[in-house]
Amino acid sequence: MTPIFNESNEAIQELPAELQEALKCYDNSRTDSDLDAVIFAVLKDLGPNSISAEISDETNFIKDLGLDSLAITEFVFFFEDVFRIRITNEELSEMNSLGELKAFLKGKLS
Amino acid sequence: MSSRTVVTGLGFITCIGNDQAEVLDSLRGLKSGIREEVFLGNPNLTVKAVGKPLDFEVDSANWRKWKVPQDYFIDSSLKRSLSPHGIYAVCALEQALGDAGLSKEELKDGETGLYCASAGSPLLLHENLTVLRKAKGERGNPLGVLCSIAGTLNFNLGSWLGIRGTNCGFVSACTSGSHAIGYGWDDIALGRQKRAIVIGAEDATAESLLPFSAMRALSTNSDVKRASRPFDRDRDGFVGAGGATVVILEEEGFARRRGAKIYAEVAGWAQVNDGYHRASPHPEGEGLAETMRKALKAAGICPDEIDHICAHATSTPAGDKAESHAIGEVFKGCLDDISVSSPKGLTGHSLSMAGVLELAICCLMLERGFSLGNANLENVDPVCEHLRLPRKSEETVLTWILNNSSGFGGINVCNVLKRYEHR
Repeated sequence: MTPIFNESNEAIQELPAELQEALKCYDNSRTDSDLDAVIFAVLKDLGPNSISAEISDETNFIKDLGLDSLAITEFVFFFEDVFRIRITNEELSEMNSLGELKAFLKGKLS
Repeated sequence: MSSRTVVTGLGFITCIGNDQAEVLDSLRGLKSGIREEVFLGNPNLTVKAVGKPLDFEVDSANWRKWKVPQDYFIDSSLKRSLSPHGIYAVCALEQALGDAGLSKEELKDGETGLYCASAGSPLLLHENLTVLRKAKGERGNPLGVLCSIAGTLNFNLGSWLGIRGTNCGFVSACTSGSHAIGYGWDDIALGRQKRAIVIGAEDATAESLLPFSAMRALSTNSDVKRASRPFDRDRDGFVGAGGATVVILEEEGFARRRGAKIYAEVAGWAQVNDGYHRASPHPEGEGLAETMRKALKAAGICPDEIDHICAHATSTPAGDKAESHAIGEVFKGCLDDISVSSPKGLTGHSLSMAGVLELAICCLMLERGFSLGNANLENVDPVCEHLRLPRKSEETVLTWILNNSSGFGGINVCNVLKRYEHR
Protein backbone atom coordinates (compact mmCIF):
# COMPACT_ATOMS: atom_id res chain seq x y z
CA MET A 1 0.00 0.00 0.00
CA THR A 2 1.27 3.50 -0.82
CA PRO A 3 2.74 5.12 2.28
CA ILE A 4 0.65 7.98 3.66
CA PHE A 5 3.55 9.75 5.24
CA ASN A 6 5.41 11.10 2.27
CA GLU A 7 7.69 14.05 2.98
CA SER A 8 7.00 15.51 -0.45
CA ASN A 9 3.22 15.51 0.12
CA GLU A 10 2.39 19.16 0.73
CA ALA A 11 -0.71 18.23 2.70
CA ILE A 12 1.55 16.60 5.28
CA GLN A 13 4.39 19.11 5.43
CA GLU A 14 4.08 21.62 8.27
CA LEU A 15 1.68 19.43 10.26
CA PRO A 16 2.14 19.43 14.05
CA ALA A 17 4.77 16.92 15.26
CA GLU A 18 2.17 14.81 17.09
CA LEU A 19 0.15 14.33 13.92
CA GLN A 20 3.19 13.57 11.79
CA GLU A 21 4.29 10.97 14.33
CA ALA A 22 0.82 9.38 14.39
CA LEU A 23 0.78 9.16 10.59
CA LYS A 24 4.22 7.51 10.57
CA CYS A 25 3.11 4.95 13.16
CA TYR A 26 -0.05 4.17 11.21
CA ASP A 27 2.01 3.79 8.03
CA ASN A 28 4.12 1.11 9.68
CA SER A 29 1.41 -0.79 11.53
CA ARG A 30 -1.91 -0.12 9.75
CA THR A 31 -3.64 -1.08 13.00
CA ASP A 32 -7.00 0.28 14.15
CA SER A 33 -5.48 1.68 17.33
CA ASP A 34 -2.88 3.66 15.36
CA LEU A 35 -5.64 4.93 13.08
CA ASP A 36 -7.52 6.10 16.19
CA ALA A 37 -4.39 8.00 17.22
CA VAL A 38 -4.29 9.71 13.81
CA ILE A 39 -7.96 10.71 14.07
CA PHE A 40 -7.44 12.08 17.57
CA ALA A 41 -4.39 14.09 16.45
CA VAL A 42 -6.37 15.56 13.52
CA LEU A 43 -9.25 16.57 15.82
CA LYS A 44 -6.74 18.17 18.16
CA ASP A 45 -5.12 20.06 15.30
CA LEU A 46 -8.24 21.36 13.58
CA GLY A 47 -10.79 21.20 16.39
CA PRO A 48 -11.52 23.47 19.35
CA ASN A 49 -8.71 24.22 21.81
CA SER A 50 -10.63 22.44 24.57
CA ILE A 51 -10.38 18.99 22.98
CA SER A 52 -8.83 16.40 25.30
CA ALA A 53 -8.15 12.70 25.58
CA GLU A 54 -11.46 12.43 27.47
CA ILE A 55 -13.45 12.18 24.28
CA SER A 56 -15.05 8.82 23.57
CA ASP A 57 -16.61 7.08 20.61
CA GLU A 58 -19.96 8.52 21.70
CA THR A 59 -18.68 12.11 21.48
CA ASN A 60 -20.89 14.00 19.04
CA PHE A 61 -19.06 16.52 16.88
CA ILE A 62 -21.77 19.16 16.94
CA LYS A 63 -23.46 18.65 20.32
CA ASP A 64 -20.37 17.79 22.40
CA LEU A 65 -17.48 19.49 20.63
CA GLY A 66 -19.37 22.52 19.38
CA LEU A 67 -18.21 22.05 15.80
CA ASP A 68 -20.26 23.44 12.95
CA SER A 69 -20.84 21.83 9.57
CA LEU A 70 -18.04 23.91 8.04
CA ALA A 71 -15.52 22.65 10.59
CA ILE A 72 -16.58 19.08 9.82
CA THR A 73 -15.97 19.65 6.11
CA GLU A 74 -12.45 20.74 7.01
CA PHE A 75 -11.77 17.38 8.73
CA VAL A 76 -13.19 15.59 5.74
CA PHE A 77 -11.03 17.59 3.32
CA PHE A 78 -8.00 16.72 5.39
CA PHE A 79 -8.80 12.99 5.56
CA GLU A 80 -9.44 12.97 1.80
CA ASP A 81 -6.01 14.48 1.26
CA VAL A 82 -3.91 12.29 3.50
CA PHE A 83 -5.70 8.99 2.93
CA ARG A 84 -6.38 9.68 -0.77
CA ILE A 85 -10.03 8.78 -0.41
CA ARG A 86 -13.30 10.44 -1.39
CA ILE A 87 -16.11 11.06 1.08
CA THR A 88 -19.54 11.78 -0.39
CA ASN A 89 -22.17 14.11 1.10
CA GLU A 90 -24.29 11.07 1.99
CA GLU A 91 -21.40 9.42 3.83
CA LEU A 92 -20.64 12.69 5.56
CA SER A 93 -24.20 13.04 6.85
CA GLU A 94 -23.87 9.69 8.65
CA MET A 95 -20.74 10.64 10.57
CA ASN A 96 -22.00 12.45 13.63
CA SER A 97 -19.86 10.92 16.35
CA LEU A 98 -16.23 10.01 16.79
CA GLY A 99 -17.16 6.32 16.74
CA GLU A 100 -18.98 6.70 13.43
CA LEU A 101 -16.03 8.56 11.90
CA LYS A 102 -13.60 5.86 13.08
CA ALA A 103 -15.80 3.05 11.74
CA PHE A 104 -16.21 4.83 8.41
CA LEU A 105 -12.47 5.41 7.94
CA LYS A 106 -11.62 1.85 8.97
CA GLY A 107 -14.06 0.54 6.39
CA LYS A 108 -12.73 2.87 3.70
CA LEU A 109 -9.08 2.03 4.37
CA SER A 110 -9.44 -1.74 4.79
CA MET B 1 -26.79 67.27 9.94
CA SER B 2 -25.81 68.30 13.41
CA SER B 3 -23.77 65.31 14.55
CA ARG B 4 -20.04 65.32 14.05
CA THR B 5 -17.89 62.30 13.23
CA VAL B 6 -14.55 61.93 14.96
CA VAL B 7 -11.64 59.51 14.80
CA THR B 8 -10.96 57.71 18.08
CA GLY B 9 -8.67 54.81 17.23
CA LEU B 10 -5.87 53.93 14.80
CA GLY B 11 -4.06 50.67 14.05
CA PHE B 12 -1.12 50.22 11.70
CA ILE B 13 0.50 47.12 10.22
CA THR B 14 2.49 48.79 7.45
CA CYS B 15 5.88 48.92 5.81
CA ILE B 16 6.65 52.14 7.71
CA GLY B 17 5.82 50.65 11.08
CA ASN B 18 3.75 48.10 12.96
CA ASP B 19 2.54 50.55 15.57
CA GLN B 20 1.76 54.24 15.83
CA ALA B 21 5.12 55.22 17.35
CA GLU B 22 7.07 53.59 14.51
CA VAL B 23 4.79 55.15 11.90
CA LEU B 24 5.17 58.61 13.43
CA ASP B 25 8.93 58.23 13.47
CA SER B 26 8.94 57.25 9.79
CA LEU B 27 6.65 60.14 8.83
CA ARG B 28 8.58 62.81 10.70
CA GLY B 29 11.99 61.52 9.59
CA LEU B 30 10.86 60.54 6.07
CA LYS B 31 12.10 56.97 6.52
CA SER B 32 11.11 54.84 3.57
CA GLY B 33 9.40 51.50 4.14
CA ILE B 34 10.24 50.19 0.69
CA ARG B 35 12.44 47.12 0.46
CA GLU B 36 13.89 44.89 -2.22
CA GLU B 37 12.10 41.65 -3.09
CA VAL B 38 12.81 38.94 -5.63
CA PHE B 39 9.24 38.18 -6.70
CA LEU B 40 8.49 34.52 -7.49
CA GLY B 41 12.19 33.75 -7.04
CA ASN B 42 12.92 35.37 -10.39
CA PRO B 43 15.93 37.71 -10.29
CA ASN B 44 15.32 38.68 -13.93
CA LEU B 45 12.19 40.64 -13.07
CA THR B 46 12.79 44.36 -13.38
CA VAL B 47 10.26 45.09 -10.61
CA LYS B 48 12.10 44.71 -7.33
CA ALA B 49 10.51 47.15 -4.90
CA VAL B 50 7.73 46.42 -2.41
CA GLY B 51 6.26 47.96 0.73
CA LYS B 52 5.40 45.14 3.14
CA PRO B 53 5.14 45.03 6.93
CA LEU B 54 8.24 43.71 8.70
CA ASP B 55 8.09 40.78 11.17
CA PHE B 56 5.28 38.94 9.36
CA GLU B 57 5.73 35.93 7.09
CA VAL B 58 2.39 35.33 5.40
CA ASP B 59 3.33 35.02 1.73
CA SER B 60 2.74 31.27 1.56
CA ALA B 61 -0.54 29.78 0.38
CA ASN B 62 -0.21 27.32 3.29
CA TRP B 63 -1.48 28.94 6.49
CA ARG B 64 0.66 26.59 8.55
CA LYS B 65 3.77 28.36 7.29
CA TRP B 66 2.61 31.80 8.40
CA LYS B 67 4.51 33.59 11.15
CA VAL B 68 2.96 36.47 13.11
CA PRO B 69 4.72 38.59 15.78
CA GLN B 70 4.31 37.20 19.30
CA ASP B 71 2.31 40.25 20.43
CA TYR B 72 -0.67 38.86 18.52
CA PHE B 73 -2.54 35.61 19.03
CA ILE B 74 -4.82 34.43 16.24
CA ASP B 75 -6.80 31.25 16.93
CA SER B 76 -6.08 28.54 14.36
CA SER B 77 -9.74 28.19 13.35
CA LEU B 78 -9.85 31.90 12.44
CA LYS B 79 -6.36 31.92 10.93
CA ARG B 80 -7.10 29.21 8.36
CA SER B 81 -10.14 31.15 7.16
CA LEU B 82 -8.08 34.30 6.58
CA SER B 83 -5.90 35.61 3.76
CA PRO B 84 -2.51 37.25 4.32
CA HIS B 85 -4.22 40.65 4.44
CA GLY B 86 -6.77 39.20 6.89
CA ILE B 87 -3.89 38.39 9.23
CA TYR B 88 -2.60 41.95 8.92
CA ALA B 89 -6.14 43.25 9.49
CA VAL B 90 -6.71 41.27 12.70
CA CYS B 91 -3.45 42.63 14.13
CA ALA B 92 -4.21 46.24 13.11
CA LEU B 93 -7.70 45.81 14.54
CA GLU B 94 -6.42 44.62 17.92
CA GLN B 95 -4.14 47.65 17.95
CA ALA B 96 -6.89 50.13 17.00
CA LEU B 97 -9.32 48.76 19.60
CA GLY B 98 -6.61 49.07 22.26
CA ASP B 99 -5.89 52.61 21.08
CA ALA B 100 -9.58 53.53 21.24
CA GLY B 101 -10.03 51.90 24.64
CA LEU B 102 -12.70 49.54 23.28
CA SER B 103 -13.26 45.87 24.01
CA LYS B 104 -14.58 43.45 21.39
CA GLU B 105 -17.63 42.99 23.62
CA GLU B 106 -18.58 46.65 23.14
CA LEU B 107 -18.72 46.20 19.36
CA LYS B 108 -21.72 43.87 19.70
CA ASP B 109 -23.97 46.80 20.66
CA GLY B 110 -25.77 47.05 17.29
CA GLU B 111 -24.49 50.62 17.06
CA THR B 112 -21.20 49.55 15.47
CA GLY B 113 -20.66 48.85 11.78
CA LEU B 114 -17.80 47.27 9.86
CA TYR B 115 -16.55 48.78 6.58
CA CYS B 116 -13.81 46.87 4.77
CA ALA B 117 -11.70 47.79 1.75
CA SER B 118 -10.20 44.63 0.25
CA ALA B 119 -9.63 43.30 -3.23
CA GLY B 120 -9.55 39.72 -1.96
CA SER B 121 -6.50 37.49 -2.08
CA PRO B 122 -5.26 36.59 -5.57
CA LEU B 123 -2.69 34.28 -3.91
CA LEU B 124 -5.30 32.13 -2.18
CA LEU B 125 -7.84 32.43 -4.97
CA HIS B 126 -5.27 30.98 -7.34
CA GLU B 127 -4.28 28.25 -4.90
CA ASN B 128 -7.86 27.18 -4.22
CA LEU B 129 -8.87 27.19 -7.87
CA THR B 130 -5.78 25.16 -8.75
CA VAL B 131 -6.91 22.44 -6.30
CA LEU B 132 -10.42 22.60 -7.75
CA ARG B 133 -9.25 22.36 -11.36
CA LYS B 134 -6.81 19.56 -10.58
CA ALA B 135 -9.70 17.52 -9.18
CA LYS B 136 -11.85 18.50 -12.18
CA GLY B 137 -14.24 20.28 -9.84
CA GLU B 138 -14.80 17.25 -7.59
CA ARG B 139 -13.24 18.73 -4.46
CA GLY B 140 -11.82 21.92 -3.03
CA ASN B 141 -10.79 23.64 0.19
CA PRO B 142 -13.96 24.10 2.28
CA LEU B 143 -12.65 27.48 3.45
CA GLY B 144 -11.60 28.50 -0.07
CA VAL B 145 -14.36 31.05 -0.58
CA LEU B 146 -14.12 32.54 2.89
CA CYS B 147 -10.36 33.09 2.79
CA SER B 148 -9.94 34.41 -0.71
CA ILE B 149 -12.77 36.35 -2.33
CA ALA B 150 -13.20 40.10 -1.97
CA GLY B 151 -15.58 39.84 0.99
CA THR B 152 -13.09 37.85 3.08
CA LEU B 153 -12.60 40.57 5.70
CA ASN B 154 -16.34 41.10 6.08
CA PHE B 155 -17.15 37.39 6.45
CA ASN B 156 -14.45 36.63 8.95
CA LEU B 157 -14.12 39.79 10.98
CA GLY B 158 -17.82 40.66 11.08
CA SER B 159 -18.56 37.34 12.77
CA TRP B 160 -15.38 37.29 14.87
CA LEU B 161 -16.23 40.70 16.30
CA GLY B 162 -19.92 39.88 16.64
CA ILE B 163 -20.92 42.95 14.62
CA ARG B 164 -24.71 43.43 14.66
CA GLY B 165 -24.87 46.64 12.65
CA THR B 166 -23.67 47.43 9.12
CA ASN B 167 -21.21 45.00 7.52
CA CYS B 168 -20.17 46.00 3.99
CA GLY B 169 -17.21 45.89 1.63
CA PHE B 170 -15.66 48.19 -0.97
CA VAL B 171 -14.01 47.16 -4.22
CA SER B 172 -13.38 50.43 -6.06
CA ALA B 173 -9.67 49.72 -6.59
CA CYS B 174 -7.42 52.43 -5.16
CA THR B 175 -10.34 54.46 -3.81
CA SER B 176 -11.79 51.51 -1.82
CA GLY B 177 -10.28 52.69 1.46
CA SER B 178 -11.58 56.23 1.07
CA HIS B 179 -14.98 54.89 0.06
CA ALA B 180 -15.06 52.77 3.23
CA ILE B 181 -14.31 55.87 5.31
CA GLY B 182 -16.93 57.86 3.41
CA TYR B 183 -19.74 55.36 3.80
CA GLY B 184 -18.87 54.80 7.45
CA TRP B 185 -19.13 58.57 7.86
CA ASP B 186 -22.51 58.54 6.08
CA ASP B 187 -23.92 55.86 8.40
CA ILE B 188 -22.95 57.99 11.41
CA ALA B 189 -24.17 61.26 9.87
CA LEU B 190 -27.50 59.65 8.96
CA GLY B 191 -27.91 58.28 12.47
CA ARG B 192 -27.76 54.64 11.36
CA GLN B 193 -24.70 53.82 13.45
CA LYS B 194 -22.78 55.43 16.26
CA ARG B 195 -19.47 53.81 15.43
CA ALA B 196 -17.68 52.63 12.28
CA ILE B 197 -14.74 50.22 12.25
CA VAL B 198 -12.99 50.90 8.93
CA ILE B 199 -10.37 48.48 7.63
CA GLY B 200 -8.17 48.73 4.56
CA ALA B 201 -5.88 45.81 3.78
CA GLU B 202 -3.83 44.28 0.99
CA ASP B 203 -1.79 41.05 0.61
CA ALA B 204 1.12 42.65 -1.31
CA THR B 205 2.14 39.28 -2.73
CA ALA B 206 3.51 38.62 -6.21
CA GLU B 207 0.01 37.50 -7.23
CA SER B 208 -1.59 40.78 -6.18
CA LEU B 209 1.14 43.16 -7.38
CA LEU B 210 2.76 41.76 -10.53
CA PRO B 211 -0.43 42.00 -12.61
CA PHE B 212 0.17 45.77 -12.41
CA SER B 213 3.59 45.17 -13.94
CA ALA B 214 1.85 43.64 -16.94
CA MET B 215 0.13 47.03 -17.32
CA ARG B 216 3.57 48.71 -17.10
CA ALA B 217 2.34 50.60 -14.06
CA LEU B 218 5.06 49.56 -11.57
CA SER B 219 8.38 51.29 -11.06
CA THR B 220 11.39 49.37 -12.36
CA ASN B 221 13.86 51.59 -10.49
CA SER B 222 16.48 49.24 -9.00
CA ASP B 223 17.29 51.80 -6.30
CA VAL B 224 14.27 50.57 -4.40
CA LYS B 225 14.17 53.13 -1.56
CA ARG B 226 14.04 55.91 -4.17
CA ALA B 227 11.69 54.14 -6.57
CA SER B 228 8.50 55.75 -5.25
CA ARG B 229 8.96 59.46 -6.00
CA PRO B 230 5.66 61.33 -6.40
CA PHE B 231 5.86 64.65 -8.30
CA ASP B 232 9.49 64.00 -9.27
CA ARG B 233 10.63 64.44 -12.86
CA ASP B 234 12.15 60.92 -12.88
CA ARG B 235 9.19 58.95 -11.48
CA ASP B 236 8.49 55.82 -13.49
CA GLY B 237 5.54 54.07 -11.86
CA PHE B 238 4.25 53.08 -8.46
CA VAL B 239 5.69 50.70 -5.88
CA GLY B 240 3.17 48.09 -4.72
CA ALA B 241 2.51 47.83 -1.01
CA GLY B 242 0.27 46.16 1.54
CA GLY B 243 -0.51 45.48 5.16
CA ALA B 244 -3.53 46.79 7.04
CA THR B 245 -4.74 50.00 8.61
CA VAL B 246 -7.76 50.40 10.87
CA VAL B 247 -9.54 53.67 11.63
CA ILE B 248 -12.34 53.89 14.20
CA LEU B 249 -14.94 56.59 13.58
CA GLU B 250 -17.50 57.58 16.20
CA GLU B 251 -20.28 60.08 16.58
CA GLU B 252 -18.76 62.85 18.68
CA GLY B 253 -21.21 62.71 21.60
CA PHE B 254 -21.00 58.92 21.75
CA ALA B 255 -17.20 59.11 21.85
CA ARG B 256 -17.10 61.90 24.43
CA ARG B 257 -19.54 60.15 26.78
CA ARG B 258 -17.15 57.22 27.06
CA GLY B 259 -14.17 59.55 27.49
CA ALA B 260 -12.48 58.56 24.22
CA LYS B 261 -9.33 60.25 22.99
CA ILE B 262 -10.15 62.14 19.78
CA TYR B 263 -7.62 62.45 16.97
CA ALA B 264 -9.53 64.56 14.48
CA GLU B 265 -12.90 65.25 12.94
CA VAL B 266 -13.89 63.90 9.53
CA ALA B 267 -15.92 66.84 8.25
CA GLY B 268 -17.22 65.56 4.93
CA TRP B 269 -16.50 63.71 1.75
CA ALA B 270 -17.43 63.45 -1.93
CA GLN B 271 -17.00 61.22 -4.97
CA VAL B 272 -17.06 61.91 -8.71
CA ASN B 273 -16.23 59.58 -11.58
CA ASP B 274 -14.18 60.79 -14.57
CA GLY B 275 -16.28 58.86 -17.09
CA TYR B 276 -13.23 58.96 -19.29
CA HIS B 277 -11.09 55.77 -19.33
CA ARG B 278 -11.03 52.36 -17.62
CA ALA B 279 -7.47 52.75 -16.33
CA SER B 280 -6.06 56.23 -17.03
CA PRO B 281 -7.11 59.36 -15.17
CA HIS B 282 -8.59 62.27 -17.07
CA PRO B 283 -5.45 64.07 -18.32
CA GLU B 284 -6.41 67.30 -16.59
CA GLY B 285 -7.92 65.63 -13.54
CA GLU B 286 -11.40 66.98 -14.25
CA GLY B 287 -13.19 64.39 -12.12
CA LEU B 288 -10.75 64.80 -9.23
CA ALA B 289 -11.11 68.61 -9.36
CA GLU B 290 -14.88 68.29 -9.12
CA THR B 291 -14.54 65.80 -6.26
CA MET B 292 -12.32 68.21 -4.32
CA ARG B 293 -14.84 71.05 -4.84
CA LYS B 294 -17.73 68.89 -3.68
CA ALA B 295 -15.80 67.62 -0.65
CA LEU B 296 -14.96 71.18 0.43
CA LYS B 297 -18.62 72.10 0.01
CA ALA B 298 -19.68 69.07 2.06
CA ALA B 299 -17.34 70.21 4.84
CA GLY B 300 -18.65 73.76 4.53
CA ILE B 301 -15.32 75.43 3.77
CA CYS B 302 -13.66 77.44 1.00
CA PRO B 303 -10.48 76.36 -0.81
CA ASP B 304 -8.35 78.96 0.98
CA GLU B 305 -9.15 77.37 4.35
CA ILE B 306 -7.28 74.16 3.50
CA ASP B 307 -3.80 74.00 5.05
CA HIS B 308 -2.53 70.75 3.59
CA ILE B 309 -3.43 68.31 0.83
CA CYS B 310 -2.60 64.65 1.32
CA ALA B 311 -2.26 63.82 -2.36
CA HIS B 312 -3.12 60.51 -3.95
CA ALA B 313 0.02 60.90 -6.18
CA THR B 314 1.29 57.36 -6.70
CA SER B 315 4.45 58.25 -8.64
CA THR B 316 3.06 57.39 -12.06
CA PRO B 317 3.77 59.89 -14.85
CA ALA B 318 0.09 60.38 -15.82
CA GLY B 319 -1.54 60.26 -12.38
CA ASP B 320 0.66 62.83 -10.61
CA LYS B 321 0.35 65.17 -13.59
CA ALA B 322 -3.46 64.99 -13.63
CA GLU B 323 -3.72 65.49 -9.87
CA SER B 324 -1.30 68.45 -9.94
CA HIS B 325 -3.39 70.09 -12.63
CA ALA B 326 -6.63 69.47 -10.71
CA ILE B 327 -5.21 70.91 -7.47
CA GLY B 328 -3.97 73.94 -9.46
CA GLU B 329 -7.48 74.57 -10.78
CA VAL B 330 -9.36 74.19 -7.50
CA PHE B 331 -6.88 76.08 -5.32
CA LYS B 332 -5.92 78.82 -7.81
CA GLY B 333 -4.87 81.91 -5.87
CA CYS B 334 -4.06 80.11 -2.62
CA LEU B 335 -1.53 77.48 -3.69
CA ASP B 336 1.35 79.21 -1.87
CA ASP B 337 -0.41 78.69 1.46
CA ILE B 338 -1.17 74.99 1.04
CA SER B 339 1.45 72.32 1.51
CA VAL B 340 0.97 69.24 -0.68
CA SER B 341 2.59 65.88 -0.13
CA SER B 342 2.05 62.24 -0.96
CA PRO B 343 2.75 59.59 1.71
CA LYS B 344 3.43 57.11 -1.10
CA GLY B 345 7.03 58.29 -1.39
CA LEU B 346 7.50 56.45 1.94
CA THR B 347 4.84 53.77 1.86
CA GLY B 348 4.46 52.87 -1.80
CA HIS B 349 0.92 52.43 -3.07
CA SER B 350 -1.14 50.10 -0.91
CA LEU B 351 -4.11 50.02 -3.34
CA SER B 352 -7.33 49.14 -1.43
CA MET B 353 -5.71 50.08 1.85
CA ALA B 354 -4.28 53.44 0.71
CA GLY B 355 -7.29 55.63 1.56
CA VAL B 356 -7.50 54.29 5.12
CA LEU B 357 -3.74 54.49 5.71
CA GLU B 358 -3.58 58.03 4.37
CA LEU B 359 -6.56 59.20 6.41
CA ALA B 360 -4.85 57.75 9.49
CA ILE B 361 -1.68 59.65 8.56
CA CYS B 362 -3.75 62.85 8.24
CA CYS B 363 -5.12 62.22 11.75
CA LEU B 364 -1.57 61.99 13.10
CA MET B 365 -0.60 65.23 11.33
CA LEU B 366 -3.57 67.07 12.84
CA GLU B 367 -3.22 65.62 16.31
CA ARG B 368 0.57 65.80 16.61
CA GLY B 369 1.02 69.08 14.72
CA PHE B 370 3.19 68.41 11.72
CA SER B 371 2.91 68.33 7.94
CA LEU B 372 4.36 65.44 5.98
CA GLY B 373 7.12 66.17 3.46
CA ASN B 374 7.68 64.59 0.06
CA ALA B 375 10.15 61.73 0.23
CA ASN B 376 12.42 61.24 -2.78
CA LEU B 377 11.43 64.52 -4.40
CA GLU B 378 14.66 65.75 -5.98
CA ASN B 379 13.69 67.50 -9.20
CA VAL B 380 10.11 68.66 -9.31
CA ASP B 381 8.41 67.80 -12.58
CA PRO B 382 7.68 71.10 -14.38
CA VAL B 383 3.99 70.07 -14.57
CA CYS B 384 3.86 70.01 -10.76
CA GLU B 385 5.90 73.17 -10.13
CA HIS B 386 2.88 75.31 -9.22
CA LEU B 387 2.36 73.27 -6.03
CA ARG B 388 4.09 73.93 -2.71
CA LEU B 389 5.84 70.59 -2.22
CA PRO B 390 7.95 70.63 0.96
CA ARG B 391 10.89 68.22 0.88
CA LYS B 392 10.88 67.61 4.65
CA SER B 393 8.23 67.09 7.29
CA GLU B 394 7.65 70.27 9.28
CA GLU B 395 6.34 70.86 12.80
CA THR B 396 3.28 73.06 12.31
CA VAL B 397 -0.32 73.29 13.45
CA LEU B 398 -2.73 72.27 10.69
CA THR B 399 -6.47 72.89 10.89
CA TRP B 400 -7.89 71.51 7.64
CA ILE B 401 -6.55 68.65 5.48
CA LEU B 402 -7.95 67.37 2.21
CA ASN B 403 -7.22 63.71 1.54
CA ASN B 404 -7.39 62.64 -2.12
CA SER B 405 -7.85 59.18 -3.64
CA SER B 406 -8.18 58.17 -7.29
CA GLY B 407 -8.47 54.75 -8.87
CA PHE B 408 -9.00 52.73 -12.01
CA GLY B 409 -12.10 53.64 -13.93
CA GLY B 410 -11.51 57.30 -13.13
CA ILE B 411 -13.03 56.95 -9.65
CA ASN B 412 -12.22 59.85 -7.33
CA VAL B 413 -12.95 60.15 -3.61
CA CYS B 414 -11.91 62.99 -1.28
CA ASN B 415 -12.25 63.20 2.50
CA VAL B 416 -11.91 66.43 4.48
CA LEU B 417 -10.44 66.34 7.98
CA LYS B 418 -10.30 68.98 10.68
CA ARG B 419 -8.19 69.38 13.80
CA TYR B 420 -10.46 68.47 16.70
CA GLU B 421 -11.76 71.19 18.96
CA HIS B 422 -14.58 70.60 21.39
CA ARG B 423 -17.34 73.12 20.69
